[in-house]
Amino acid sequence: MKLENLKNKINIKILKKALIFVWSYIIFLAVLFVYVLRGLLRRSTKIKWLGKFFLLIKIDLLANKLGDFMYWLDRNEDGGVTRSYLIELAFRNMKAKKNRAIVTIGGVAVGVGAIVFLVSVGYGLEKLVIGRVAKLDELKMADVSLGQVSAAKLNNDSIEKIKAINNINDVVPVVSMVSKVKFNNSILDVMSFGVTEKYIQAVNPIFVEGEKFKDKDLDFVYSNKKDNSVLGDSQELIWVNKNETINESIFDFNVNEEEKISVWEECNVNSEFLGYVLRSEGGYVGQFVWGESYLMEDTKKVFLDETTKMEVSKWIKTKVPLWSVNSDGLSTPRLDSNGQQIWKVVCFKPENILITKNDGRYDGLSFEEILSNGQVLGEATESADLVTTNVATSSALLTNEATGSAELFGGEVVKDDSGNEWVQFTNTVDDPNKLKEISFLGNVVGEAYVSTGMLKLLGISNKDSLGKSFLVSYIVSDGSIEGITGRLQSMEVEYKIKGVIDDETSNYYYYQLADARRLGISTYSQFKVLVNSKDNLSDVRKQIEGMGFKTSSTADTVAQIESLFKTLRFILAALGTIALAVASLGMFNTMTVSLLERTREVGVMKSMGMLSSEVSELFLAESMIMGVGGGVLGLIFGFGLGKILALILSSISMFKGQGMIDITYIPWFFTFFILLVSFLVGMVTGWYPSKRAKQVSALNALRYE
Amino acid sequence: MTIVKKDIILKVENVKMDFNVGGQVVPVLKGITLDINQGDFAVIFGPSGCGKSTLLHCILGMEKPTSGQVFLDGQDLTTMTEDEIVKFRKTRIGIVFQQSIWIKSLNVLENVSFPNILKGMKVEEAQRLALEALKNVKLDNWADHHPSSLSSGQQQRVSLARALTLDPLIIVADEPTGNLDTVAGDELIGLLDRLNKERGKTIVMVTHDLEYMKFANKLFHIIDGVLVEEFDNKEAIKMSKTLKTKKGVRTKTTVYDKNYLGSKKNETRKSKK
Repeated sequence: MKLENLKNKINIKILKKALIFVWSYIIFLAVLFVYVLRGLLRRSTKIKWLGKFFLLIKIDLLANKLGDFMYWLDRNEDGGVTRSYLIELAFRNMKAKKNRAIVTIGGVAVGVGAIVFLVSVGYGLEKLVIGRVAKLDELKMADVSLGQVSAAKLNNDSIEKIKAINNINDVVPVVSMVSKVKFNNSILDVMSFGVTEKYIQAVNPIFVEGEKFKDKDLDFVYSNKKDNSVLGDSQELIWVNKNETINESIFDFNVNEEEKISVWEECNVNSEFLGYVLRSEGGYVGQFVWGESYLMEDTKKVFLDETTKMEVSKWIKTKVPLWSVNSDGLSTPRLDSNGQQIWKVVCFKPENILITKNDGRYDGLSFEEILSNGQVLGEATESADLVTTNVATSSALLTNEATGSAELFGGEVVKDDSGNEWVQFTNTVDDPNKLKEISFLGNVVGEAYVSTGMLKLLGISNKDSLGKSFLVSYIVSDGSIEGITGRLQSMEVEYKIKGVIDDETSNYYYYQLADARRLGISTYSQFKVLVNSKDNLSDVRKQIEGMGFKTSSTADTVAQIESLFKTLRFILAALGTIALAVASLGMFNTMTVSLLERTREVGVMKSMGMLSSEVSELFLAESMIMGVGGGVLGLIFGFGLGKILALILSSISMFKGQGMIDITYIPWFFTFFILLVSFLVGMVTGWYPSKRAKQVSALNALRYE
Repeated sequence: MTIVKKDIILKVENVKMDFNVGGQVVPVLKGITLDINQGDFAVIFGPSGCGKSTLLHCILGMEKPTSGQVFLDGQDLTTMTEDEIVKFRKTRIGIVFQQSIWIKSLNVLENVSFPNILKGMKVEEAQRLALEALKNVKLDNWADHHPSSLSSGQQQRVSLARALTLDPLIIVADEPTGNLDTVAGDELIGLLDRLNKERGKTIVMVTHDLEYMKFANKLFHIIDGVLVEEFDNKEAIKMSKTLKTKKGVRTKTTVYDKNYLGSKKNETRKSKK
């Protein structure tokens, strides 16, 4: 214990000594700074014209105040010589040997300037390259993509999971797809990014035309859950089976007065248009059926077919007499070859009709039975005929459709024992080369923010671009939509150009993420993770990678560039250091010669009562002034040289039509480092002469010839 | 234990000094004892190499005697550390060397104010005192000049001003006229004499110019590191007169009369026997 105490005491003593030592140099530098400043201020009042102005703003008073401050800094209880006087004397000594001082300081300035210039070019180049590679904000971002672990998925759950990590500001998803863009009879493959406003804010592209990206339709949420629960705030997703009757009882209805309702052969607007149905006395019997989707007024609910994932709409199937309408708007009955009005089982959209509540008349009866029961208007035989033939045809048509969709989705049509055809999906028959078309759930926003590079490709000028539209068909990558595999392509939709982004180098456009969601895409291509500080990025990335994702960031590239330039800077600094070393030797020589010349002076000063420590301080002061002076001049010199180089390069690049290039950059810490180095050079080169001056006895010094 | 009287300003007590030259110990001072009182004009003289300069250095504290003590202003210089001696010296002793050595970058006024600045005095105050000192040596018109542009006589007077400016207890002059012609030498010694007579300054001077002995009230003759004679004022005047009558014309060559001193030396030896 005692020994430890003793050790501590010794350590404290050494520490105290070191602190006093460092403190004395800090004070020395402070006094030197104030001294030089005061000198400059005083000198400034003696300039021809400006001097009067400086006197007017009382610069001289300020100089005097500085002087007082210097004396206060320099106060000395011991009654020895003041530092400011030593500095004064050092300056006077240098003045007495002006040329030598200039050459020596110049040497140091050249050495320091060489380092500053070379290193600043190193820093500048690095900054230039990094500036080209990454914006400042990008160093706070990382891209998350799928890693080797297949269990991880880039879906909404993952977003929540990643968001739970500390220091993350936000997680923004993006869907990237290749899209076939049709414009003016040409088809181009262009990258497209389904993004949100947050993403755009993070990437911060420059909009040259058009409006800012605003989230639209973002509330739409796709889900594979087969319940009919409300998912988004505005839209409900309901899973149904196409061509199935809707689980509602058969009902009576009639057409509203004065209304003519279009009817089709099948529940599909692309099927044969048969004519119109008008109001009739007795009304009709109808039933809801899921059919091909059409534009519904109410988009709050989206109905999807469970197998095809395609949107379906509500139709009414019924048997009605057909009417045609001529150009004057007059309706005439459609007659068959016998002159009878045609009755047919048709489909129409449930609009402009009045449905009467079912009174239980049809309970337990199938639709076909009701139609054939002749409880509706018309002759029984005819209707029987009609039922048999029409139902048969319609089911045949349905079969065709089934075959069509079976082809589309890689299924096959099989017949069961009773001869009915079914579409069967099997995993084995998936043909990956077969293109499957997927439709959008509801309407897309259809707004594109295109890069100038893409505009160039399309042959549209930036100014004319707004409002122009093109057709897009997305190529959906495998696995983006759950439940469907293979080559997927969306149906063609129209996109309008809403904005132009300044990027000549690549062809792409941004669109609303909702559009991708409406394609049924629930897994994203990438997340952008925004971290609160760039220092936390690597830590956050490690955590995300721990979840089984892959992360990448511009920070990686930047780190590589940084390490490369670190080496380059080191080499450059080493080259500069040679120059500084030579200059240091020169300074050492100067100081030594100066000591030899002034040995007798040292003697007389010592005999007059100058302490040897004060003598050594005087010599150190001289060398440190030369060192710091050389350092400051070297900084200016190196900086100036760099700027001249930048100017030359800029003028060349301007001449070639490029922007300004500033290839020099000096960080603050480097400035301080250089000043420190020059100060140390002063100290080291002054150390030996000052030691000699300290050690020589007054008598020997006086006798020195 | 040596009791130092109050009016004794400098007391050298049995000072011995050995030098080590090429492995051989050469005794330079062989036990010198002398007192100098306040207001004395003391001259130490003797042939070259007799040790008078060494004695002076011991008095200045620039050399530490091998044995013996030097009391200045009641304090023993031999027990002090070097820094203590330097601090002691800068407040009490004014020095004039044979050759004037200047801080080359400073002008006359600044050189003269230097000792006071070393004491921590503000530059303005030190220069005011320096100008006063320069007035005393009648060189205040030369304050702005560089000292090396002055004649050697003027330079020595500036040296004197520099020694004077800190109002020292004692002025020590090491052959101040050594490099001067008679006119300049006379002028300098005249100044010293006036300082001694009018302002009561204590002066210790080493010289081998016997002409200036008449100004001294105390003379110490040193031969081979031994104080062989000690005169008082009357004897000193008498001696300088004898010299004058003997040689008739005073020249630099008569500075040290070997025959005269030789006879004296013999006398002392005899008396010692």
